[in-house]
Amino acid sequence: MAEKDKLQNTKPQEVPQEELQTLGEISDAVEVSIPETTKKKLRVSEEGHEYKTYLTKKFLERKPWHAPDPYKVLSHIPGSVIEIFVKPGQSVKKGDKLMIYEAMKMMNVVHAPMDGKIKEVNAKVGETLPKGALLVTFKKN
Amino acid sequence: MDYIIGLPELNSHRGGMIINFCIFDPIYQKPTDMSLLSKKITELQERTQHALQGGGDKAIAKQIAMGKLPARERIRKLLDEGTFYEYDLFIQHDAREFGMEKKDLAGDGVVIGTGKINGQPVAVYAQDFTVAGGSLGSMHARKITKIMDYALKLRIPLIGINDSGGARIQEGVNSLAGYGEIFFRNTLNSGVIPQISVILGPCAGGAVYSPALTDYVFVVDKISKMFITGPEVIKSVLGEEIDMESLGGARVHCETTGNAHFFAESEEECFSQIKTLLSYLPANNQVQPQEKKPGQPLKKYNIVKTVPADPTEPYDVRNVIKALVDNSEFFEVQELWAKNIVIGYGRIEGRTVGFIANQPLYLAGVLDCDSSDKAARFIRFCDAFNIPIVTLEDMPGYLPGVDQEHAGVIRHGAKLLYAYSEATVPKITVILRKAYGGGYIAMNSRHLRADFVFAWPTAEIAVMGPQGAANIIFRKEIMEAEDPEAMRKQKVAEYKEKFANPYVAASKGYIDSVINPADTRQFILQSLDVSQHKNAGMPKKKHGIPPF
Repeated sequence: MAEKDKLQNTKPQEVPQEELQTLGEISDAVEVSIPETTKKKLRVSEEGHEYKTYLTKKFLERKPWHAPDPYKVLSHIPGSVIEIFVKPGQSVKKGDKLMIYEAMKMMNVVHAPMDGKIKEVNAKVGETLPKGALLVTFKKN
Repeated sequence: MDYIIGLPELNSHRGGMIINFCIFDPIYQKPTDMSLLSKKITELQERTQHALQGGGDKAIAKQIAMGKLPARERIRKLLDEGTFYEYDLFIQHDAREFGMEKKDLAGDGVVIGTGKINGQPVAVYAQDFTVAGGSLGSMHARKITKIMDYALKLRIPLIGINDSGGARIQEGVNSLAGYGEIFFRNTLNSGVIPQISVILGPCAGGAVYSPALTDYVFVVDKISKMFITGPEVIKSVLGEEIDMESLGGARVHCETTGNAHFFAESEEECFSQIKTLLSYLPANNQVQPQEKKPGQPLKKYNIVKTVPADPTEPYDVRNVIKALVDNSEFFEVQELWAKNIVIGYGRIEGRTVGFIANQPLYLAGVLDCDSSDKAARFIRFCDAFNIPIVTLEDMPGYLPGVDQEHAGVIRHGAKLLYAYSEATVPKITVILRKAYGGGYIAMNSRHLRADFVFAWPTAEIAVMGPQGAANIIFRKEIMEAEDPEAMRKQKVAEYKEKFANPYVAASKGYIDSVINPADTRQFILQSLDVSQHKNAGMPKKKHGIPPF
């Protein structure tokens, strides 16, 4: 009962005035990806009109875009490594089997994305990996 | 050259007075008539010649240097030879600001007309980048909307070739109005006539929404570029550096965004893809697709050998489709995006069929946000255009994971349920191996009004995989056992034997027949045959509200 009252008495969270200022702090956390000019405001027009806007959590937590590295083979799905067919230093052809990667009731075959030499095998047999984990690194030509 | 216009006897009683209609009169030869008309004709030819020049030799040379064809050349290559008739060649722009009144823009930067592909009539427009960068002004837009209206009225497919720098800034809001009119017509035409967008150049800003509203988008490597905001804006606002090709090139839209459906290396390849696609489609939603001469699947595609009996072994489901369709010709749509589901067209005994199949080769064939989107839209297209749907099912369920949940797999997954439930064309499902959980329901199950559901003896239909299920159902037994691991194994085997088969579902009538894999084509063919007059309705409504 007391808990229920407490819930009812809780006022809806108002956005305090300071919130606008703390925006600067939040932006600091992502300083790398947001340039100085857009720290608190997003400049929309070049004629000196500036619009202040809140940034959403999703926006602040977004991963900045990086060009994908073609020499890294990443996992596309969470799963576990069953068997590895290649060793560092080994030459492979595009389409060769690199490993068996079990995920979603399936023994998925990971194929070589290109011709080349294996620089490093980053995954270990038996390891359970998330999506986007580094499996194999190719040597840069 | 002899021109005979009008009837000679009609002209003859008017004597020499007639000059308007008679060029060459077999009875009264009037040299003066001839010269006046030929003058008029010469003027027409001159005007035509001028308009056909587009942006002039220099601009055309520049276009070719960029690896692109001029607009009319593209149309000529796309359509059957000699079938193109152009309209609105003499359109003039109506901008009177910023010195535009002095500018002569041939045809206002767009070519429109009708012609034939595979002998079937189509309406087509092509933006001409050589004229003011193909920029869209109000008259340019009016030409496009005119041909869109023709296409709707004549109930023939519409093909738009996009190659434009964007809105013509000098025309201000008139140009935006033009875009709006195009988008509105794209929406109006949707589901009535097939609409195809071909991106053969830049297509940026608001302009991208016309292709997005159409049914199929074709792109060509290194030539097509689509984005809402370009690299410059992204750099100035977010500080992220990216080049145009990585941002909105053909490959990106085919592999990552799913905005485009067909990827080609060259414009010629792209045009041949369009011809192939149109061969499978009807001209409009009131007619059936054209039938072709029936054929048999090629011997090298053996359905029984393709699918491993071990449910953990992957295979390429496209080989199963090829073992089912005439001449093993399967035309895949969105081949490079969301590869864990395969969609596309084939023919069975000459009739077009839309195929949807889980692809165990990629991501174990799971359903996720993208694959649900991809399949749902394809189903709605097939349903709108009277194309029966065959579903080949082999999937472990929806993909678990935080990123999927946060990306809205609930909403996206629901699209698939919605599309299958709503479709009233003949719907046939064949369960090849795994059919687990929510995925079993989503993949055109009996419960979503499938007409025929067949299962191979290798099918496993259950709420979840044996491992997970045994762990939950027999948790107590396993925990209390002396050797929990042995007990777990025993219970998994027990569950597998009891539920990982098609007979539980068959005993409830959820499956019509458990079939020999070798007979699959026969069963599909028979089902299509008996469904020809299928009449399934929907409750009266303005329209449903799919979880967009």
